[in-house]
Amino acid sequence: MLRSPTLSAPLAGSGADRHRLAHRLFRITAAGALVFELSFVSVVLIALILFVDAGSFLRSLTSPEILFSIRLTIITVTISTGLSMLLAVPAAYALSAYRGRLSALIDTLLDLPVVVPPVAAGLALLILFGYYLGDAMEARGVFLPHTQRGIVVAQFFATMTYSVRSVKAALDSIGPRLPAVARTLGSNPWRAFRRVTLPLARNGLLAGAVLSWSRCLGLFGPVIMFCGATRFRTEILPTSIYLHTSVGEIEEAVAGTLILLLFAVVTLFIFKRLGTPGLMFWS
Amino acid sequence: MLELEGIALRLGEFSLREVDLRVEEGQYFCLAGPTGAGKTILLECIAGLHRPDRGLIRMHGRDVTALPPEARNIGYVPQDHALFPHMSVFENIAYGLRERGLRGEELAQRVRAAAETMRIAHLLGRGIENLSGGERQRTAFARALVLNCELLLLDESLSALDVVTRKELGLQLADLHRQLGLTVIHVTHDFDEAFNLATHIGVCNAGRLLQVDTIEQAFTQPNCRTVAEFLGIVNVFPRRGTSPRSCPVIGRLHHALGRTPDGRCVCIRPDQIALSREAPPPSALSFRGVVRQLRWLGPIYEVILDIGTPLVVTVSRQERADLNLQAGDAVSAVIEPAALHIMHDG
Repeated sequence: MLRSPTLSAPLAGSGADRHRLAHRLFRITAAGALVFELSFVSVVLIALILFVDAGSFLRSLTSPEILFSIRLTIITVTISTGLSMLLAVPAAYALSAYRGRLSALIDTLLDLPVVVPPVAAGLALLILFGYYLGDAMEARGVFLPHTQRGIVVAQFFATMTYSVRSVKAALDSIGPRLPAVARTLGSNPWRAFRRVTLPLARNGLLAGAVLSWSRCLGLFGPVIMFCGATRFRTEILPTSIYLHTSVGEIEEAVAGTLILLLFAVVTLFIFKRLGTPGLMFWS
Repeated sequence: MLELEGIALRLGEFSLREVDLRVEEGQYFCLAGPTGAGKTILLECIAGLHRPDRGLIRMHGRDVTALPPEARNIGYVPQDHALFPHMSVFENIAYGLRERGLRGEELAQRVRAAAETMRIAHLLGRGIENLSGGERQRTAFARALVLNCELLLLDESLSALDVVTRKELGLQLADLHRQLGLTVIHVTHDFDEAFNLATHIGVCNAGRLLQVDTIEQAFTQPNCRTVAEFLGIVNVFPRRGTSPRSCPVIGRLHHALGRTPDGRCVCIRPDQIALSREAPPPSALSFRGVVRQLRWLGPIYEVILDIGTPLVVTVSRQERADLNLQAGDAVSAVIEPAALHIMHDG
C-alpha cells in the first residue's frame, strides 16, 4: 500500500532520529571498549610501578642474582634470536618460493610451536633431549636439559615460527619478479638474493629479529620445564621473577618484572619504527 | 638466431603446447595474442625463467634449454619494468655491468651512454619512486640495452603508458632496432603496436602459436579465425552450421570460391570491399545492403552494412564524401574474388 507524502513525512523524520541514535550508540560502544582496554593496561602498569619505591628498586636491581639473570637473559635471548633468524631466512625463502601439494602440511607443522601450550613444548623438549637423545649427547659432551644451552634451545623452539613468518611476510612482499630480472641481468641465485631480495627485505628481517627477541625475553613455560629453575644457573628473568615470588621476595620480583617491561617497551618501539606492524598479526 | 623446437610446458592449469618458432638475426618479432594466450610464459621460457617440460631452445645453433638466465645474455624488460626500488636510476642501469665485473670510469661511461641513448641522463641520480611511467620504462630499456645483449625480450613494455609516451617510445624502439641491429621479441596484445613496430609476427592463443609470418602476410592471409579476429578482421563467415539456404550471402561467397571444405571459413578484409551507389554488373560478386552505422575512426570511416548479415567495410573520408554516405542509405558492396580468403574455422 502506498503511503501519502503527508503521512510518511513524520515517519521519515523519526526514522532519521533512530539512525542517528544507532550511529551514536555504535560509536560510543567502540570508543568505550577501546577506553576500557587502554585503562586496564595503564592501571596494571601503574600499580606495578607504584608498588616499589626507588631505593628498594635500585637495591634489588643491583643484587647479584638479578644482575646474573639479566646477563643470562640477554645472552641466551640474543643467541637464540640470532640462530632463529639465521635459519629463518633460507627456510622462509623456501616457504615463499615453494607452492605444492605439501604447502598446507608444511605451514601447519611450522605453526605448531606457536599453538602448542608452552609447558607441553618444554616437556616435549625434555623427552627428546633427555629421554631419547640424552645419553648419546652426554657421551659427546653436549647435554641440554637443565643447562644454559638448553635455555637457548627452548627459546629457539618457541620463537622460530615467529622468525620464519616475519621473514616470509617480508619476502612475499617483494615477490619473485625482481630476483628473476636480476637473474636475467647476470646474477646467480645467491647474488640475486644478496643484492636484491635481502636489501629489500631488510626492514622485515629486522622487525622479525626484534619480534623474536622480545618473544624470547618473556619465555617461561618451556624454559622452566626443560631447564628447571636453579638460582645462579638457569635463572633467566622470568624464572627469577617466579623464584622470588615463590619465596615472598616481591620487591626483587617486581624489579625483574619492570626490567622485562622496559625491554618490551623498547623492542615494541623499535618494531613500530621499522614500520611493519602487520607482522605482529600474520594471517 | 633463435629457434624453439616443440616447446611444451605445464604451469598449473595453463599449458604451452609444442611451440615451434624461428626468429632471424636482426628481426623485430612481435608475439601477439589475447590476454592469457601464453605469450609471457613463452617469453619467460626464452629468458630462462621457466624450464620447458619438453623441447629445445637454440641460440645461434647452440642448445641453451638447460642454461640458467644469467648465462644466456638476453635482455629482458618485463611489463611492470621491475626496477630495483632500493637503487637509483644509475645503479639500476649499472646492475648488470657490475655483475659482469665492470667498475669505475668504464662502468660510469657505459651507464651514461645508455642513459643518453634513452634520454634519461638527467635522471641518473634519482630514486625510482620519483620517476614517471615513461621514465621508468626508459630506465628499464637502458638497463637491458647497456649489456649489449644478443636478444632483447620486451613483455608488453609499452602497454601501461599513455598514448603520447607510447608512440614516442615506440618510435625510439624502432630507431634503436634499426641502428643497433638488435633482435627483438616483443610481446603485445595490441595489434596496432605490432603493426607499427614489427617486421614479423607470431599469433598465440591458448598456449599454441597459430601463425608465424611477416606482418603483411598475417594481415592479408590469416590462417584461422582466431588470428583474423585478433588482427581486427571482422568479416569472417563460417561454413559449419550455416546452410547456404538459411544465409544466401554465405552461400554466394562459398559458391564464388568453389566448394569450401568443412572446418573452413571465409574472411574478407574490410578495406578490400568497394561501395557503390550504382547497381553492380551481374557478373560481379556483389551484395545490395543498407548502411546501419557509420563510425569515424580518424583517417577512415567504418561502415556497417546489413546485407542479410553484417558486413564491415572501411572507406576513406573522400570516398565517404563522394558517395555522400548516410545511415539508412541503400548501397552495393562489390567484392573482388581475390579478396576472399579461406582459412581454418578455429
